Amino acid sequence: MSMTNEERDQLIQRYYDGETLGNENSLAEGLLDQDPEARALLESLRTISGAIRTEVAMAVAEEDFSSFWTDVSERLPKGPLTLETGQDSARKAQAMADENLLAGEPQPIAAGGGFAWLRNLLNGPGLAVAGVAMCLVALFAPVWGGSDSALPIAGMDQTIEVESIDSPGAFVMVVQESNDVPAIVWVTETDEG
Amino acid sequence: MRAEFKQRSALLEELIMKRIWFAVCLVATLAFSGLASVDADGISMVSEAHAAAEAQVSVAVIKATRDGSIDEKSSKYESVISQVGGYSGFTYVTDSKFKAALGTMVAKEIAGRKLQVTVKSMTADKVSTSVTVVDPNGKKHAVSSATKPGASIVVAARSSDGKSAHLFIVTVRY
Repeated sequence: MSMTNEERDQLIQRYYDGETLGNENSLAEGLLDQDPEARALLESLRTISGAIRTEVAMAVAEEDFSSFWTDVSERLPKGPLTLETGQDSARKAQAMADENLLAGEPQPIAAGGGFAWLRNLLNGPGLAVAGVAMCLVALFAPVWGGSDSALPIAGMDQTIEVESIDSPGAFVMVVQESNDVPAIVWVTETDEG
Repeated sequence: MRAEFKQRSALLEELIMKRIWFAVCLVATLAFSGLASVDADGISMVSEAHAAAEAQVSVAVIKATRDGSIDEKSSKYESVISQVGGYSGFTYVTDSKFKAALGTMVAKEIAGRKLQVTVKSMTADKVSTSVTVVDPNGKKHAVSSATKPGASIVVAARSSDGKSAHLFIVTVRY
């Protein structure tokens, strides 16, 4: 299987992060056996991680987390949850992600791997689109079913209990030849207002 | 190191936002499809009976006349028109589908008349419905009945001179 350097690096990074899926794990291990650059990358990731671990306590002590959850909650929609507020907030979140996250190095979505489509789907606009699509399906799927759904179902028990008939017309009648056919309630329309 | 830490912090925040949005979209989907509710007490799954508190109403209208023949669409309603004596012409006029929340009247302008449908109660084996046809002179002809879900009721509004009739075939499902 041929793989670009970028794909190889991403695979090794995911392997290091424990995020490999399916056969990616064995693929990464194979790469590490055969490719010195892959081994070097893994080693450098371990080195960086080790350095971070040793200094992270100091960094945490200096960092102000007091506004962390405030920042998160400010990005959530205000008021009752509706389709509009959801869409609006998804757009805002994506805009902030585009501007901000990326003061640091962007982390491109993995192009390779069988689950790349899932990562794309769960990322920013893809997630919003998927959410909106699910809402639309949930709203309209029942209406889309069958073009003749007013048709009486053949062989169904059409037994009716008439509770009341209220008609100003002169003629009212209920007809039902059998319990397999719908009852017809006849009323007479008026000829003046 | 500090910059890297900030970057990781930003990534963590973004990761949390993605998870929150996934949950929000999931809850919204469930709420819109009537399977979950969101209120002051939080999110709760709705029971099957409650989830079905909205019924699907399908209406077809066929005009019956003294003369004429049965058109193709009307012929599908054999079980109805076979019971209509005195009329030989059957013309499919229109149809409509809509949702009706339990206890809420839904009004539609159909075939020059106003049709009002109220689903009064629903259980697994019985649906109680009120169907009202308001004729062109504004008079209401109301029929309340109970059937099995998916069964049809037909309100046949005959003109005062008897020359024609409009058959409103109403089917309620949920």
